[in-house]
Amino acid sequence: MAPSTEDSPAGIYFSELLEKDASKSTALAAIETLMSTLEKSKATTVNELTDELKKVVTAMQSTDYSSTSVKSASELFMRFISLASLDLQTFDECMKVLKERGTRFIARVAESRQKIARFAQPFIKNNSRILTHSYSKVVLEALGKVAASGTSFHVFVTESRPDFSGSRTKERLDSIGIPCTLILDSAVGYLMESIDFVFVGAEGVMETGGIINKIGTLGLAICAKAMNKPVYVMTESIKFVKEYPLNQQDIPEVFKYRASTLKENKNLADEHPLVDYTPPQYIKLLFTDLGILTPAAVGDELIKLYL
Amino acid sequence: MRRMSLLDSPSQGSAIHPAFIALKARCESREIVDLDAICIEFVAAFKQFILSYNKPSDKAMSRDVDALIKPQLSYITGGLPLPLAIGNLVKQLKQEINALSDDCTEEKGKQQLTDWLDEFVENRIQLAFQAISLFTRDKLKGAHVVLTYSWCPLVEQTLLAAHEDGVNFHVCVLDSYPCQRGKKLLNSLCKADISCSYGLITSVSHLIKQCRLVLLGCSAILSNGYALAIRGSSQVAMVAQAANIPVLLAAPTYKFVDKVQTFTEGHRSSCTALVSERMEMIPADLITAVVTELRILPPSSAPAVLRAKQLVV
Repeated sequence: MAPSTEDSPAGIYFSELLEKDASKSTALAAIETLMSTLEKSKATTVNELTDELKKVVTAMQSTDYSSTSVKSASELFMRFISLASLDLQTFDECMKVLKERGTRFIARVAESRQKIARFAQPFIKNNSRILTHSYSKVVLEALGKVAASGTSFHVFVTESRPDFSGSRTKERLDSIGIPCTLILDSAVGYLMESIDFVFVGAEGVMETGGIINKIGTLGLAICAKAMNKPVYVMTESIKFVKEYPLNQQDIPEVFKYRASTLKENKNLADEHPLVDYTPPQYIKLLFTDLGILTPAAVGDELIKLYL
Repeated sequence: MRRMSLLDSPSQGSAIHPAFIALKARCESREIVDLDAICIEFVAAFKQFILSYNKPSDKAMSRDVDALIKPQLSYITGGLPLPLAIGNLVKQLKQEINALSDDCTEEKGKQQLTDWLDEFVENRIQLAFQAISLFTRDKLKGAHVVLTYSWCPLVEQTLLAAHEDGVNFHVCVLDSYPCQRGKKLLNSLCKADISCSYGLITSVSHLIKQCRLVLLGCSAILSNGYALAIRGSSQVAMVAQAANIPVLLAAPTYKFVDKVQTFTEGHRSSCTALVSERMEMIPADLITAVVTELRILPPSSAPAVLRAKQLVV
């Protein structure tokens, strides 16, 4: 059996999906890749099909895109399509049902950003000053929709080193016409007193109700808590992950470093982690397509999703 | 508080089953100490009671057994409340007894009830302990120094199992007077060649600086996420929180109860039957995670566990 790498057809398809559409969510791309594998599959048994899909997931996780999103989305997709008994006559009928469920799942996921934007609408009033971190497609879409409805607000976005992804956010906001200021990561403390609230995205939502997001989010959240500014997280429910980190050191390594870094077997003590874990006590609310949740409710939702 | 002595005669007419007399005596003499051990002995005593039951020909088994249990339980409790988790078990057992069909034979009824009791011990205690050990082992891998308090059989089993699996860690055992139960844990850990240190609870602030994880046992988890544990546990949890060390509580789902309480009430009500130690509340915000056989949960998810296990009354 050939080992799955990012050079496999699935890995290439996945990377192409994300390169073609910069605003596509990593999780959605993962699901679409799985769906296309399902459609092209020549498997004749359920086990064969499951193995094929698992190989595709491994291939996607070995690309440098967010491993957290890929993992959670893939797991939920697999569960959704195989939920309920499949004691149908032939494998072909089985495949039909799986494909139909897959299409429904994708449609639901594609709508999730619009739902989140709708939930966020009442929270943003005229002349709000919003702080955000790094580059989050969900947050951008939500801010875009709220601005389109006529609300005026000012966004401050951190540069977010080492990849300066904050500047991509500024470019997008400028192109939509939302007033935006790019700030240094270290200027968060200075600015926090004049901010109304913080909006961040998440790469993964943990069972604790906390989130994994671009490094710097934890510092931002602690600062906001100290000054009594609410931190709102915007994320789709496909990013809910079955992990329970107790502290920063307990974050699984596949989330902290890029796949390419892990493959090179470098001494990880010298590598800078790309993400940090923000515990639930610093988060006020999570805006998801399942509704506006408190961090405590995330645990309940996860039990329901993974039951 | 007046303690029931062994010479007290039970209520008129109904004889107390010797298994229950032995259970109460052993608990009072502190031969059996932790809640998990007490629960297992309690189930064993109940099993003996059911096996020695003789069904009268004119009465339905479910109603008869139900009526006979009352004096047995009031002997055991002696006016005090049952420990919460055992109260849960008794409620579920009563439901099981009531579910016996009216026309079931003595044989069948006994079989059903003893099967249920056996299944409870096997699934909710023994297998649950194994699952909890596995979940905790993954967290022990990263934490090279673990702090624990007093003796809890589940914590002991977890540490021994993790060590057998090759996880390397050092254990700090905290203890308190007068019972000094921590020495029991220390003995079994040393026998297994696990590197340990020992201190009294007064040295917690000093020892916490060396530790990366705190692992505690408990006797119940309430539906608001608060935990009932032996006295001293909340002190350890508070110091751990101040030092930013995560606190893990090992709790099989049978210990989850549908009750809400935020503070340890006065002297009288903190005593329960069978359990000789005094208990206290650990507030939910001091607990980082509760390890159950289902998954690792935040304490705020206690109601979800109650729903999942249909323990909601």
